[in-house]
Order: sequence, then C-alpha cells, then structure tokens
Amino acid sequence: MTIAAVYRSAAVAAALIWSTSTFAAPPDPDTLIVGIASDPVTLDPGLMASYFEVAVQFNVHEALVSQRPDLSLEPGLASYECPDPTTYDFKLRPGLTFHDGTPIDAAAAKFNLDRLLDPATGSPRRPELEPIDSVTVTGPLTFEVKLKHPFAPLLQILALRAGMLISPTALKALGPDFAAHAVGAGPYKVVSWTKNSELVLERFDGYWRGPAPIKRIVFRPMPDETVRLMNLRSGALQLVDSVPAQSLSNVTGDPTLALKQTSGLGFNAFSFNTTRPPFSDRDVRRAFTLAVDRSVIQHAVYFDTATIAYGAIPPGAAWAYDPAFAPLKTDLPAARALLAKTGLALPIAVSLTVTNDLAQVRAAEILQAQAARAGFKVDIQRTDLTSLITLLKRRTFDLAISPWSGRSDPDGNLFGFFTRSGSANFSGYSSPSVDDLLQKGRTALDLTTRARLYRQAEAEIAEDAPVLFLAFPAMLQAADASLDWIQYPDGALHLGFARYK
Amino acid sequence: MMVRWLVRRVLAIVPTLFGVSIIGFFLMRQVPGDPATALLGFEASSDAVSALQARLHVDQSWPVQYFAWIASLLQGDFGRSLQTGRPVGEMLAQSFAPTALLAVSALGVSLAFAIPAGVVAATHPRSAADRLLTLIGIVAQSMPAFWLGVLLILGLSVGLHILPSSGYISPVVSLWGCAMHLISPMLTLAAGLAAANMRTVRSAVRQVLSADFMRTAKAKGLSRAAIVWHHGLGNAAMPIVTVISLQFGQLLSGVVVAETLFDWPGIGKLVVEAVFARDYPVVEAVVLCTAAVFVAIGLATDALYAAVDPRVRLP
Repeated sequence: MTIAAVYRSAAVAAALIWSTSTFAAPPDPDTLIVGIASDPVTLDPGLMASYFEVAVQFNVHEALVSQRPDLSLEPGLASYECPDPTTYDFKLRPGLTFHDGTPIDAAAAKFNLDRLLDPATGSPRRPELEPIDSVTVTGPLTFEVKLKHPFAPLLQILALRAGMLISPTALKALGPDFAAHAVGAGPYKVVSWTKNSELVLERFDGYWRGPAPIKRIVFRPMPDETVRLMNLRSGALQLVDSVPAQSLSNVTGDPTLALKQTSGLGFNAFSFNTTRPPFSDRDVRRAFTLAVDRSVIQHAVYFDTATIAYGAIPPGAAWAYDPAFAPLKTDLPAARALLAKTGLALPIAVSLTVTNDLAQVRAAEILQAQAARAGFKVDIQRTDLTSLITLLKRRTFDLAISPWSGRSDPDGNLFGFFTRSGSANFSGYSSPSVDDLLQKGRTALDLTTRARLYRQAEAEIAEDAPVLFLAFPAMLQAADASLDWIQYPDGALHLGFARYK
Repeated sequence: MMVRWLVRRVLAIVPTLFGVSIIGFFLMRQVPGDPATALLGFEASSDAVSALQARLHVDQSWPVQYFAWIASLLQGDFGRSLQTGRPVGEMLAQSFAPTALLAVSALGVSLAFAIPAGVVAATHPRSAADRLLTLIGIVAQSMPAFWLGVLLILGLSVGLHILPSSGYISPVVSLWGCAMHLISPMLTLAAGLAAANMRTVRSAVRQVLSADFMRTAKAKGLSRAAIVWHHGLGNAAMPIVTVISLQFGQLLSGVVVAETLFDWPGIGKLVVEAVFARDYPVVEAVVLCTAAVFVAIGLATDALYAAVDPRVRLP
C-alpha cells in the first residue's frame, strides 16, 4: 500500500465514522440520562445521610407529605389534619401499593415511622423525629402521630426522607440488600444499580399521580464537574444535577442547553473552632469576620449568582429571611483595633481547611489575602471530604469550611449548627440564650412568632461569630433544551414531572 | 533446573504479597476518617456514627480487624464492601474486564506506534524525521493525561460529535459501541506510553546497530531491511520487553486518570471511589490483586528471559 492509499483509506474511514455516528442524535424520547456528582450511598431513605441522594430520592420514593417547588406543602401519600398542636391525623390515599404490590396502609406507615425511631435502626432521621411520642393506627388507612411537645417543622420533615415510605415486605425479604434494591412508592422503580456506573429506574404505573411521561431514567455518577458538563454538551447526558458557577458561560452560550437557576436553601460558611486558641477568643473571631469582604467572594467564586450571607436563614425561606440583616460588615480599622485590644502578637497564625473543590480553594485564597490585611497569617490546608468531616467532628482545626445543603425550614439550618448538642455544631458554640430561642422556634406554631425568634437567634449568633457566613449559593442546574422539567430550591430532581417537549 | 527455578520464584511471591497486605491494611487506616463518617456525612450525630462503626466492625482494634480479614481471605473471601454491602470479589471481577481491555489496547496501540517510529528514528539519526518524532515524543510525554483527555472530549465529542464522551459498553453487547467508547480513553492512556516506548526502541535499536555483528551481517550482503528489522530489532527486544513490563505501574496510574475522566467502570475508578469512601476491604483487595498481577508480570518476564537466554537461569 502506498502512502497515498493509506491516506485515502483513512479519509474514507473518517467519513464513514462521521456519517454513521449516532452520538449527535437527539435524545431517545423514552430515556433520560442524568449526570450526578456522586453515586447515592444507599437507596434506603431511612439510612440516607448525605446530600448525594437528593438527586435520586424523590424518583424512587414518595413521602407522606409533598413539597411544591415554592416550598409550600400539599398532601402526598396522605392528607393531614392537626386538631391540636401535639396531634397530627393522617389519612392515606386509598388503593395504592408499593412497587412490589404491597398495599400502602396505616400499618405500613406506622412500621416505617417506628423503624426510624428505633435506635437499633441507627437512622440519621431519628434526631429530627425525636419529638414524636407515639404512632397509632386508627383505621385501615388512618393513623395518628402524637408529639411530646408542639413541633412546627414536623410536616416539612415528613415531606423529605423521614416521610418516605418503603415496603415493609421488601425490607423483610431483602434485609441488608434493601439499600441497593429499594422498594418504595415513587414514580420510578429500581431496575438495576451498578455501583459507580449507573442506576437504572423504570416508570411505576401504579404511582398515585399517574404514570410518569418518561419511561426510563438512568443516573450516571460523574464526580468531576468539567466532565459532567462536557457530557451534557456532547449529548451523552440530558440533565446534570449541578453546574459550577465558573462554567456558566459554557451553558448559556450553547443553544442546545437550558440553564435553570433559583436561590438555594444552603449556605457556604467556615466554622471557627471556639474551643481552642486563637479563635476561642470572641474578639479574634469578630476581627477575622470584620476583615472579610464578601462581595469579592460573591464575584470571584460565585460569579454574582449567589446571595451574600451574614447568617443561616436563606432567602428561600422568605417568611424568616431578613435581607437587611448585615452585622459585622467589612471594617478593616475595626478589625485591627479589635486585634490590638486582645494584646496577641501579630501576625496571628491560623490554619484554614478546605477540600480540593475549585470554588472552595478559591474562597480560601481570598480569605487568606483579606485576613492578612488585619493581621492574620492564614495557612491553607486542602484535604478530602471525609478527612474534613473527621477534623470538624474532632475539632482539630482553627477555621474549616462547613457548608450546608440547607433545609426548607430555618430550624434545619440553625438547630444542628448552634445548639450545644447539635450534630453540626463543629465550632463548639455554646449559648444558653440561643439554645432557648431555637428550642422555642421549634415549638412555636405561628410563622410571625417563629420568624421573630429565628431572627433574634441569628442576631445573637452573629455577635458571637462562631461561624463565618459567606454566601447562599444559587441552585444552578442545566438540561438539554428539549427537556421540560421542574427545578426545586434544594436541588432535588423530581423527574416524575419531566417530559420531552 | 528450570522447574526448580520457577518453584522458587513462585514461593518467593508469598512473603511479598503478605508484606503488601500488611502495608495496604495499615496505610489505609492511617488516613483520617473512617467508613462510617464517610457514609453518614456532615449531619450525622456521633451516636449514629458509632452505631454504624459497630455494625461495620471498624470499631475493633487494628490487629483484630487485620486477622479477621486475612482469615477470610485465606478462604478465598474478600469480604463485603462497607459502602455498598456487595461482595468485594464480585466488584473486582466486574471491574477487571474493562480495565484489562483499556490497558491492553492502550499498550498495543502504543507499541504499534512506538516500534516503527523508534526504528525509523534510530536508523535515521538527526534526520528531520528523527527530530519530528523526538518533538512529538516530548510533547506526548509531558502532556498530562488528564489534559489530553479533556482535549479529546472537547474536540471529538463536544465539537465534532463523532465519539461518545464517556461510559463503557461491553464488547459482548456491542463490538462497535465498545470500540467507539474505547478510543478516547485508550488514546489518553496510550500517548504517554507510546512516547516512552518510542524512545526506548530508538536507543535500544541504535545501540544494537553499532554492534560488531551488524557489520558482519552487512558484510555477508544482507539487505538493509533484513539487518534492521530482523537482527536489529530482534536483538533489541530484550531491553524493550524489560521496559514494557516495568511500565505496568505507569499503566495502572494512567488507568486511574483515564477511568475517572471517561467514567470507565474499571479497577482505577473503583479504587478511587473506595479510597474516598474509606471502603477498606475494597481498597485492600485492589491493592493486593494489583500487587499480585505486578509480581506475576515480573515473573512472566523473567521466565521469558530464562527461556530465551540461559544465562539468566544461573543463580
């Protein structure tokens, strides 16, 4: 074969590949392939503990209460009444079954709630259901939940993982394997799950809202955000669960893609370790906070998509959020004066820990530069997520990132972080007055009172500065332009509503 | 003689793997965090974490955990993944084929380029072709695999739409689909190898070409092609085989990058995920199996030498 012949056949082969290529074809109308940041850990809602199941959970499971995209509540598997502040009566929809045909009745609902409350289950849901005193079956489809004390967030909580019902028969039959083959009551049932590769779901015809428009959903975990976005652009995916702010122009500049954006419920914040020097000193924490100019981070890390944060109540919780709340705004002279008052030798050396996430590292570098102006010498340490959590829980850090995916009720953003025994109280914050306010916020029932309590708590926390709040990141998600779908502020994907145009 | 040599070498593997098992086990436990913390994430209470630790048996002392693991390993049981509950042996078996396919094809492609290119460069030293190939080699070798992979996705998948950007299709399901999915990760992996192999071939062949017996061959009136391809490459084969067998380590680290980038469900992706999840049994099994394959390849190479060259067999 001569050189020319080689070139000729190579050209023919290239043309052949080009013409037979199926990878530029429009998406298969029966299949939706979703790129997610991480594989779910478990499909058992009672054991879910990470943010990573949020993309998947509402497709396989259905909760007693249902949350609309505007965060208001409506009946889900059950309607509800609250005859008095410590009693909730639930009535399940008649004639429904789980994916395996097991009827959804009051006994199944009681089984589910009792399971989560049982310490032997080890469910991360137990602390939030702790106010429940008893669950009593009152009829084939009705049951009563009795509370130890009034607990305002109950219905919100039952619209999320704690309220998702699983088939008791399947749980007994599958045992520990249930985590991989969850049988629920959501719009889709699990067909197969190859860990770290793909999770395949198929439409469940018995879903209470009626069969979903798209027949099959495939979730593919792709941890690298660049890779995920490129797969969306190449057509290998039709939806991605998150788009990094720095890649927004790639999405908005591509006519085949559509971006959705809404203000999220979570916050991005750094916890000060208040249990050891130098941040055990309130003035040192306040000085650091005063040195920070959040607008730089908003611009350089979030590309102006986020909302600047001074506290834990997100703009998404409109009834409690106060847009004017801005304590300890940037004030460099005040920061220097506070540090001088402490009498500590400058610069004060502190470590700042983040994960390798690009946005986090960039935020850390900005904080490093800004704090240096007030007299801090910040040493940035990068680690992986599990090491970060370990360090936060052991409190072996000075300042470390402690982001929160957010809850629709402000209680979920405050209680765990700032009560003395709170599970996310990494800073070691301890204030009897804040404990009291947050406890009252749980038990008060009207929104005006609750908003006042939460705002007061937020103001007291800001004075003590145990946590450096930076931003409420926007929820940024993107899809193929032909996909019609509904975005939720918590980033959850409710694909039972998705359809191709 | 040969049999005794082989038996001795195979027996020597046992302490090696035993050492690897100890190092792998204790090194992994030096990493901060534990599987329960990794599984339960930010919001879990310490009660929930310790309950899960007890359920996963990671609250026991390290020696107890190690001996329990070794004991079940000796019965052929790798245990279950702490993250997914699936049998580790099954996960390994499932991930092995995609990795083997990727690694072997990348090695094959790299050699298909490196051998002719290396020979051409060696027979035409300092020519334009040699300089060009050297330049290509330097670029290919210094380009991070991650970056090359991203360029391939941008060019071939996002830009031209001629190749899928990620994923794996088993050749049993569709040979065509498998090949299409294979091209980009394979090129990502092969580029660095091809460059390194080309330089090895070049220097090995050059060295042989300057040997005395080459002059003899020429004096006998053999054609230039016969001299170069038969006597030249044939005698240069030993160092080339050595380098290729040593490349297994590089191949493996490349596999981790390529698999992560192209969402290729192989050993590399499995172990990366397992390290982040502190899934001890999976990491340990991968480390042990990789070491076993590494040792086996070394042994096979030595056996090959021994078969070809009797001098190697002498103690």
